[in-house]
Amino acid sequence: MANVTPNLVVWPPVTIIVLNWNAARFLPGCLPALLALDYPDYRVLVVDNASTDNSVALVREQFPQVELIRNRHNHGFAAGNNSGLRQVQTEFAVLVNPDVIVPADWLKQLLRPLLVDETIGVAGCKLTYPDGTLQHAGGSIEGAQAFPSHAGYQEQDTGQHDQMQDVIYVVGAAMALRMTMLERIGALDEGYFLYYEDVDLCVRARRSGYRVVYVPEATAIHVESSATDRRSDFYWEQMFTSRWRYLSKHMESATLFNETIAAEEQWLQLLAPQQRAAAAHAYHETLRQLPEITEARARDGMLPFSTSEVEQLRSALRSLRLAAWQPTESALTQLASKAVIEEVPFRSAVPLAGRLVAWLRERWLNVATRWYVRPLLAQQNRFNQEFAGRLLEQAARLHVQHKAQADQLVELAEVAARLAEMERSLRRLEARQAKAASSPRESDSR
Amino acid sequence: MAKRLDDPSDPLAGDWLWQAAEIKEQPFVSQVPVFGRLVAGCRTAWCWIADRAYLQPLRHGQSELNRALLGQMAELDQWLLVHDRETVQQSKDIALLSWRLRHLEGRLLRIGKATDEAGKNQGSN
Repeated sequence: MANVTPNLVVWPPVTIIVLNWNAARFLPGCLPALLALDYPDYRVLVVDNASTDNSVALVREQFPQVELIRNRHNHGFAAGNNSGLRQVQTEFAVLVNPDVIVPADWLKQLLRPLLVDETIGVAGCKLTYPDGTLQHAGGSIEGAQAFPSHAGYQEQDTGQHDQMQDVIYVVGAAMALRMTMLERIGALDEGYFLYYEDVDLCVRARRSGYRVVYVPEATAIHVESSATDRRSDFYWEQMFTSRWRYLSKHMESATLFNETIAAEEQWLQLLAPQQRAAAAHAYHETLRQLPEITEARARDGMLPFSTSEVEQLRSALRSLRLAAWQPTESALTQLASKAVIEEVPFRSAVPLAGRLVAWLRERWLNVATRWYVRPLLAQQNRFNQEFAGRLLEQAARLHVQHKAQADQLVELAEVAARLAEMERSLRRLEARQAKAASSPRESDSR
Repeated sequence: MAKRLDDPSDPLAGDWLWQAAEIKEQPFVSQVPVFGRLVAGCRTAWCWIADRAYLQPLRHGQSELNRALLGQMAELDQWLLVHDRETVQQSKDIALLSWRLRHLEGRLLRIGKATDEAGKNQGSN
């Protein structure tokens, strides 16, 4: 990186986009910090993704200098930010989450590398939690299952991540983008509702020859999880669905078919029921969107799947969906077989006379208590077994439906793919017909 | 990452249900005036000597089973939720496919008509 004396830098105009969804409680921390930046020429654009809290009123009343775009529906992080990016006329755009608080010099620090090196397309920040613990110092994607990993995560910041460097990705919570790069590679992929859209963008940027850099001088506090509760079904479903969109779009087919699917099968067995159900939903969504995802894969520069690979992926997703269910059924079968409460023989710890004590107790129980308790226990056990059995039956019925639904989904995906093919053929036919219809007229007019 | 099936923090099962799953001992209370406490104390002591050792494992066993059954019910609930949402989504997808199919038929009809007309025009020329 070339050295630039700060005084000689001509700071270009910048557009800062804050995507908001029900984050009214965070905006009074985020917006004043953005409006107080030490930067000569910038505008702040709040894109509201159909919030149902008082965000819009709050922005209008308390921050009139901020521009506001209101989306009628929440189509997710990528689509929301893209609606802001479409309004950008500056050379650089910066995406900021509403739960991010920045210091005054942040924007200059973040943009400096982009001004010096035109090959840098994306720059990200050092993000910390409010207590100063590190959250993100550049990200990477690990293994055949594409799990995200953040450098510095939950470490104390002692300067160990203070070198600017090229990274696999930086998080979309606070990132600077070169607009000419977006014109070339396209904006955020709106097929992602939440998560992985930033990874996807950085991968596409690098594939097109741009650098993605982590800039430690640009620090910001990220409260994180303002939009999602990390224990919720929604969180896991979005995380897993987006991961599979990413895998299907960007993973080499050899890795996907030889490593990812096997690793995923094993991983499923370790998950809690909530996460397994979320994973099943993710496979379902990937299966549904497969025709569109395969097109996006080809469009974004990966070797397209062959017809047989699409078939193989469909079948693998169907199997994974059923594998996600398997531990539920096994646990229930085990439970049904153990739904009997048994008497435990009395044992005495008294030395020497212990056996005698135990024998006496047993005799006493036979005379005084057992005749009374045993019928009650037998009745309870009958109920326990019946109840566990019924639960198992319900599970078996659900499994049949689950399987049938997977089959229908595969069929539906095939019909959708054939329909898309027919539509393409029809378009070609219409074009040919239009051409044929115009050529006699042309020859007539001659 | 995995959590126990009988995790009481599971949002699908109400806290009260998890609490009710645990069979609890109730202290004996005597209504006898004046000597009530003494009576209750004697009964409790007797219970400790005579029956508690026999009944405690049964109580624990049933409580454990109750929790496991609740855990499984919560898990099935989770799957039902996923299943319901997917069914709704599938219905929407089918509706969209039907619409695309009708649209396709309309375009095919138009092409057919145009081809017929072109054929007639050629014939008349």
